[in-house]
Amino acid sequence: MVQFNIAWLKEYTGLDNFVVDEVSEGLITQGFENELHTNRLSDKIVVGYVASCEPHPKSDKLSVCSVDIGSSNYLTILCGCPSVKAGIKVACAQVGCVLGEMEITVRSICGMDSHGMLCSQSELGLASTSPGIWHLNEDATVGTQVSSWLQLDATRLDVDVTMNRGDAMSVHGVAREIMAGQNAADKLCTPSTSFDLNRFMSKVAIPVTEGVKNACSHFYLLELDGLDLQRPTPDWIQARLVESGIGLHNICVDILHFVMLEQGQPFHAYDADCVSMPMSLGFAEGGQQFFGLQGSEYTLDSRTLVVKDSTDSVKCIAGYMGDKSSSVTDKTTRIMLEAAYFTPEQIAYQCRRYKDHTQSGSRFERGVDPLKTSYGLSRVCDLLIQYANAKPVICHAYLDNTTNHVDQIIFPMETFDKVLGEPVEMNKLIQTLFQLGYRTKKDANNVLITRPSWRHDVTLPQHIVTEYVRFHGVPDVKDHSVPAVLSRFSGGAKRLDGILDSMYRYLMAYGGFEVYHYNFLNKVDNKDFIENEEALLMLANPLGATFSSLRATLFPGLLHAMSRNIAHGINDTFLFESGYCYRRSADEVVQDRCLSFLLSGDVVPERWREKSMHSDFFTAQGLAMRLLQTMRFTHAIRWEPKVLPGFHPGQCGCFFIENEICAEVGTLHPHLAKKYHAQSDVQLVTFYVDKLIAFHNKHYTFQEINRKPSMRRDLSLLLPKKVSYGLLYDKILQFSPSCLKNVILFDIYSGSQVPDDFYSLSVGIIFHHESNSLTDEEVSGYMKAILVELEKLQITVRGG
Amino acid sequence: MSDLTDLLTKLSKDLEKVTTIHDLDQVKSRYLGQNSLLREQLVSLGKLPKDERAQAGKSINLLKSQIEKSVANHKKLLMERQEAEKLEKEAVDTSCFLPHSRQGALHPLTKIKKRLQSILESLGFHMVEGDEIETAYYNFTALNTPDYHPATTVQDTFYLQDVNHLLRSHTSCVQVRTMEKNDPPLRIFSPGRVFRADTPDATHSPCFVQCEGLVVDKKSTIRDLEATLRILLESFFERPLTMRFRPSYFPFTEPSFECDIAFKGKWLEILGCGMVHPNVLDNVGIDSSEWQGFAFGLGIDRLCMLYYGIDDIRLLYESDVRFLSQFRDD
Repeated sequence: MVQFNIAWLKEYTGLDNFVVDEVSEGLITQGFENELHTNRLSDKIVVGYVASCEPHPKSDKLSVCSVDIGSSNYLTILCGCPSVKAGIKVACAQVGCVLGEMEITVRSICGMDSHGMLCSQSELGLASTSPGIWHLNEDATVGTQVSSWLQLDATRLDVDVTMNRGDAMSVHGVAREIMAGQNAADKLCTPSTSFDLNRFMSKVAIPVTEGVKNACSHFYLLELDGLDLQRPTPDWIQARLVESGIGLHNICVDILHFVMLEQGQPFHAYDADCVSMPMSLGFAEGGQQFFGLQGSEYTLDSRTLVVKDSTDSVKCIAGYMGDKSSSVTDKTTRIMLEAAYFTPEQIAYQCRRYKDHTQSGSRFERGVDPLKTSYGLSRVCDLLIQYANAKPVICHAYLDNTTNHVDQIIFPMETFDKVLGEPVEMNKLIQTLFQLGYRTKKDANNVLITRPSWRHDVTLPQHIVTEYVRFHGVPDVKDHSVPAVLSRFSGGAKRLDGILDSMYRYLMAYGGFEVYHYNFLNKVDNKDFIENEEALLMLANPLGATFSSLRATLFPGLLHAMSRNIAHGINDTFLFESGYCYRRSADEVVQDRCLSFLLSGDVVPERWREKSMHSDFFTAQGLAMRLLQTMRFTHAIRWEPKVLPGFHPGQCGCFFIENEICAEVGTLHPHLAKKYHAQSDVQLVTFYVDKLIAFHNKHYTFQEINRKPSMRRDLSLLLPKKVSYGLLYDKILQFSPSCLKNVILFDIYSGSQVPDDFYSLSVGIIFHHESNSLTDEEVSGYMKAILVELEKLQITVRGG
Repeated sequence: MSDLTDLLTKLSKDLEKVTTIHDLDQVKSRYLGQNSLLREQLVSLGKLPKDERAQAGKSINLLKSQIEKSVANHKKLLMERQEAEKLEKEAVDTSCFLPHSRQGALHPLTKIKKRLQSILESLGFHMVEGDEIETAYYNFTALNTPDYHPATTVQDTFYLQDVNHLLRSHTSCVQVRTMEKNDPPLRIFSPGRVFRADTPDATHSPCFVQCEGLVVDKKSTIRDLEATLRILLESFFERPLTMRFRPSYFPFTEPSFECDIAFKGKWLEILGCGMVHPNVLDNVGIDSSEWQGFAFGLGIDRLCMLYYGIDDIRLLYESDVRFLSQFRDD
């Protein structure tokens, strides 16, 4: 993003009629999102002169200033800034004006009245922070309104420049777009320069190493002497820099920044007394250490383009950041001023590699105008001569004249029909392109287009369509219809969607709420439910420890949600989530699509007619089983108890299809229940959706309805404790003649009525023959045979 | 015979006192049974002279049927009264509602997704699924975003440790994967989660849901793109919309646009779109001189917030039952 005071933009557009809202709207339709910020400096803020400054009699922090605001008016102002002193010029806000939210009134502090305020740049709304009150230049005219002294407009324009438009990262670039939008490209103003670079050009070229040609085509180093960097930066330059979000340094660095904002060309200055000539351009040695301007340390690699001095010491990461040892300070008197064109590819690489954002890097990586390097250098030089007493000495350069910076595009006019969907007149296109700085040549059906040197992004006919659309909008489509077509494409997503949909509906009907949680988890929470910590996938750049690993299970997300709801007094929770869970298997990244639910508290709400029903393991298992039974699989579903991490070891297990686990069911381990502040037992279930899809029987065919009556026989059985119901169930069904259809468990009893080590079960056995009506004798025969089989497991009829 | 004429008056008096079926049966047998007056008269009929006999028999039978009718009427009355009493007794306080055992809800994001899905499917788009963990090739390179491109910057994209993968930062990866496996023409959409390294606040979430759309054929134009999105959004909001296509930049489309809709006097950014960049087609081996198309990506979270008037994206990921239970409809 770039931001400029409108007054600055106005200077470059040379528009007589500059309507801020229209300009802003125009830029939006041309593809530049922007916002306007208003900061109207009151007329009552004027340049003041601190005529005298005495300590406050009752406070060691306050000074009592007599401030001359012109026309023989003196105000007594109490100021708390340590840098206030007699003899300085200041921005003085008088009583009655408003600064931001604050109205200036006569205030009594420690027994004395203060009749105004001396302002800092941030108090004036120009900078986000500032060190203290603003010491204006000595030549400021006392009594002048500060807004006119600083040449500021009340509005600032913030422009969001897309990645492809490096050319619009400057006042000049934005003004160029505005002028093209106004059909007035010829009126765009460019400051003239008086510095004659040719007079100072050295005959010796700057040495470069192999490969530099692909990364840099223009590289100037201009030596300037006699600088006085104690001189203040002109107030209006300071105001523009801080309003554009650029920090202030010294007159030299400030001017480099000023021209960068103005022209889009970044510069760098070396303290010439801290580098040994000649300097050279080349690639770093891998592993070399570099201390940046801001004090950070970087380890360079051999793809990094650097500027070295004669001792081979790296003085700058090209186009990105200078080093600390050769940085310009206010004591510097001699500098090497660098202006260059580095390719976007090279600088983008360095920006990614070294990660810190720099003003220079963000411009070079988007692309600056290679043909404006020497102009920019002259512009800086002019200002340094004017404001810092600079004396040009000599300019060294490396210039590669073989690189062509202006490509040509053959543009067939039919591209418009093809891409836009409607034809465009050739002359209308040519006019638009002319406003944008393109040169064109027509033939019958094509336009030969030469792009301007600042538009690296334009290489294809499609880009030309974009240029046209930016100025003329998209076609009107009120009458345009889009026929629905059936494409030949088919994918598996529809099936997944269908399966998930029926699962959702089932869970919803039983009270489940669908939830979405982040896919990242705290590592500790993740570990609770996995056997092998190595399987966790970790983020290289997480937002924090809470989000450090990718979820291997959906459970922690559900459990945290349960805890949050408990905190709100909601103790009955039934939540489900579907999504990917991730793990690492050898060097593979595995993404399992899962659907999990959490069930805790009452399943039937408290009501007047019957008691509420608490959920337990069997509630969850039953829900899971019935859900699986509603789907049709190619193989039978089988339950097996299995100890799973994170679960109560005696209350968990899996549903299998063939040898694949298709669902896990269990009660949360009491330790974890405590961790998540559970108010009652927590049941957790995961369905492995990919497995369900794999075994899903998509071609179900109708089965004939059995119209014969069925028969049921009930049995009360005595079982040894080691024999599970599952075993009994399997045993009965295994035995089955084909007419044995089902076994229903309707009572479980263990107590004083049965011997120790035994328990009692009551089951109903359903017989149903497809073609014959069963007789009592037949069924009794089956029952007898079943009992004989059961006796082998020491199962007997209770009371029999 | 005067006894007989009084009989009906007497019967109606007797019946007035009868309140149960049992009593009615007794009355009935008193008037019509073995020892009843009527019976006596019937028996003594034989003693009458022959010419009077027929007349007297007729009157007795008439009387009999009148008695039977009165008794039957009274029986009906009693039954009705009894049923009314029973119904009155059975009346309950119908204001004691018995709440249904709980009813859950789909998440609003899923609802919005399904809404979009039904519109897109009616336009002939097929749903495809995409992985969330991707390689830089599918997330960037194949989408015409070279590895040095600022969009690959670490600040935006989540990278995995040790393995050469990342969490996809957009659903556009699905474009590439689909085009690699299928020949054009194509019309697909793909809803799914995407990830950006944004600290959660009211308008940002490190993971959110996007829906990608892609059309590849021989002559889909910007006009078709506009018309498709207009149909999609107007069907979604069920009203005509004021829309704006603002030129923008994405590495994988050219020209690129951001689409705004006018909402409460403001322009609101709804989606990004554009004509598929020829490099993207060429990267997957589709000849860009023969085929072209458009793509769009819309934020389901944003659409959801707009549709339901939700002002804080975090509500979508916090699973507060007080929030979720508001979406029980349909």
